[in-house]
Amino acid sequence: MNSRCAACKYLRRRCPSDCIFSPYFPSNDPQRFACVHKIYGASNIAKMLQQIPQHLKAEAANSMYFEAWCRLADPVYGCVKTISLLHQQIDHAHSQLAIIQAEITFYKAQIHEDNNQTQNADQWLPASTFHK
Amino acid sequence: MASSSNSPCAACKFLRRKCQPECVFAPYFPPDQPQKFANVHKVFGASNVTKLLNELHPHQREDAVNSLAYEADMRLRDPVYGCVGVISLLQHQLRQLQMDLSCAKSELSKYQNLGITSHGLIAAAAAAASTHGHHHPQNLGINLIGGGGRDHHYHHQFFPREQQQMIRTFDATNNYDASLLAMNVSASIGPLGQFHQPRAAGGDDRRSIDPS
Repeated sequence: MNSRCAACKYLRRRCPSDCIFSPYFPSNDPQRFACVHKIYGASNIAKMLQQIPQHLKAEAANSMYFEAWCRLADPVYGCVKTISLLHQQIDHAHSQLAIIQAEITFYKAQIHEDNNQTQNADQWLPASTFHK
Repeated sequence: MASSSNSPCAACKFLRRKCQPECVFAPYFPPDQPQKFANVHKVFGASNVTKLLNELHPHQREDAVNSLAYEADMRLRDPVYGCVGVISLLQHQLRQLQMDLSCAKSELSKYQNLGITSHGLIAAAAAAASTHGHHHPQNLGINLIGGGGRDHHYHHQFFPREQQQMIRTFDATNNYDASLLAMNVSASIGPLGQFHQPRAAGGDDRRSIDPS
């Protein structure tokens, strides 16, 4: 009966029945709360969760955990480094696409020109057709 | 670098305290950017930020503060997903681009494999094959348009392995709904450019994060 959530265990307090943390910080994953607590602090997490609609609180807790985990892994950039790298990858992919599209345009232009040349050359074939 | 006694930094103004010469916040929260500290304080709290900064070398602190400011800004704009929503959106964009690239490459190879018998193209192909040690001898247009130095290998890896693992583990355990994420972050992508390239956003106009 006395099963405190990970947050209340960490904070060494009684876990009330309406504990804001308990649905998202189960006792079997103490590291999860320790991680978010280190970055955000308990009161900030509680405030943020309180402001979020009930059906989205779990998602919010998960995203906070992810960002906190990234920040502990990389204290300087956290998850922002991933965002930066994704931007670089997107820019690179855009450049690659532009190059390939330019090449396609080149081929199309060549084909068009070759077709024109072929048509023009045909005009000089069997004189009987064109010259009277 | 600390503020003088008659111009407290944004943090000390917010916290309504005297800004000491050795104030840890002063170099990174100038008084003309009050929103920056307000956001960071709201999401992380002053003492957590102090602890984080104290664990870093001084030369790392500016980048750390700027990335924290960005995260705080994203979290306040999107309280449910914060930066995670931005990451999800960018991943989606990147996947879309890779599909577009794949289609474009496919179309390009159709032209390359046409076996065009035009005298112009054959001559160009011969020239390309003989003068350039290119590993795509049939890419007639590469050196004419893209330049000889272009590398046509594009990376399948979105970001460094440890970040990939981070994202994969997170995705595997949480199963985000991509459409829900997209709806929530549609407004978040705007300030991303402000962080990526220095611009006055929620107060951060100093510099962008350089992950290198």
